[in-house]
Amino acid sequence: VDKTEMREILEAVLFCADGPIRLSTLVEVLENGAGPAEVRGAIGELNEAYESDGRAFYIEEIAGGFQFLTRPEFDEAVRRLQKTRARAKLSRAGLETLAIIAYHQPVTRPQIEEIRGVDIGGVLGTLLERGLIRISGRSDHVGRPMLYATTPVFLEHFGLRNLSDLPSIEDISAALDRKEVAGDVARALGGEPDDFEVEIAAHLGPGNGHGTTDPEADDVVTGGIREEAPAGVPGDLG
Amino acid sequence: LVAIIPGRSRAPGRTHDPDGTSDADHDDARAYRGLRVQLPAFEGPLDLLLHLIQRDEIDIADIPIAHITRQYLDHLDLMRELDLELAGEYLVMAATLVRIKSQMLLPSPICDEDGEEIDPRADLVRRLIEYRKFKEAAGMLRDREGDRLRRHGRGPALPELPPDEIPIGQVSVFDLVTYLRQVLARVAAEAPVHRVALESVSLEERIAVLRARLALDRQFLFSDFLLDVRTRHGVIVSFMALLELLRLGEALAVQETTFDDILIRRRDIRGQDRDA
Repeated sequence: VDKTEMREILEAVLFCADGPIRLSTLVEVLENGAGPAEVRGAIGELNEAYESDGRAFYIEEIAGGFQFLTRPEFDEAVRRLQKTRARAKLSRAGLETLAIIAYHQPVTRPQIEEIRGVDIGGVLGTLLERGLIRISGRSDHVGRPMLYATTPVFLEHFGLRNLSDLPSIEDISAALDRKEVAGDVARALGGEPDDFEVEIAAHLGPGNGHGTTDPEADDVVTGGIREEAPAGVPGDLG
Repeated sequence: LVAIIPGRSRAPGRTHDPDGTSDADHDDARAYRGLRVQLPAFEGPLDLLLHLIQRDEIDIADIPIAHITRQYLDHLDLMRELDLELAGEYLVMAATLVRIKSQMLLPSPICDEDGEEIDPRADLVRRLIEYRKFKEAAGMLRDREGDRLRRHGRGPALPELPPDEIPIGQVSVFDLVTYLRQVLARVAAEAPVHRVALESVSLEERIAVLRARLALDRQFLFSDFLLDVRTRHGVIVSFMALLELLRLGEALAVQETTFDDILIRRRDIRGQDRDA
């Protein structure tokens, strides 16, 4: 397998696509006998080259495929060209409902309403309309309520490679506990909760891999294709 | 519990437009299709409880039920006075809180079949902790969404979708209501002794004044806007005027520090969001 030629073919194919192309499709298109691991490796090499050349784009693994994306610092320029405003973001109700569906799928409407404590009829309609969720079947429970699950559009919307790219709900819970302890300590000793979070994390042990709000935890900006890592692997905290 | 049943007599001098028909003349009706802007619809009773718990730095595992029930009902009363649409779930939660409170007052604790004492709050605490996790997860999704939207793929720009919510700024409705309660407490303390005639302030008038002020200044403090009102009624109507402009997307509300004064910012409907 000619590595240089493989990189060039992959670059050409991805250059022509306006959405994520699956790894299996790339393997088919190459017709050179290279397997998924080699293709993934070649894409990693392309990204390294883009980064060292200081290019404005890179190949991102997203929604189970690969796709060219611009780096975030060119957002405003691109939007000036497209004459668009920042795209409409989802409402809080939408995000909370999606979060519950993402972590509990497949899940019924009463189950979601039990957690959120409010009626979600309108929100479900919006999410279905935007293609972020789908009806994946019916539950065996009384009344056979419909089951909801997320779609590839969901992964694309949030820039996720797959569902295990989400931090686990236990990690989120652990991060919340740390935040609470940090708040208590800050109140007792004076200072800001942030001053204590790292130390508290060290005491409470691992449990948070991806960080819930820490932008540094996301290496997507550098375009590094991450190895498959299950959610919950200790990251840069501590 | 009678006090929290909806549909009490309405405040005098109300000219509010409860059907929200005033945005019907907006030039882009499509953008408003399916739009829900009854402010509290984004949040729910669990969210209000979490807000109060955070505000009063309460340990979620050991909630002082009498205190939180009083605060909850106070907020509910005020939200009703502001004509915010209260979903039935708020009332169900109020009933739950009152029930827990009465169970806590029982002389002998309730026990399960093994004779273990049951904390009447246990179920509520479990729900709050569960809800809080997903609220946090939603925040994580929001960050990822923002991150993704700044990176563009090849091909034509993705179609702009109608917003399913007008951002009201960096505050929640509960932040606004909590702040309003502080203001009202101050107004009550400074109640004028000699003022006899009711200050007559209409909602239209306060909306007009607020719009004029926004046209003049890009941003100003809500307390500034309250300088020329003296009564509880005046404060409430001024606050409703603010909610209306937030609802119409003409203004954004920002709070520099939690539970502090509110900064009102002009927002051009067609222009860039200024809360980014």
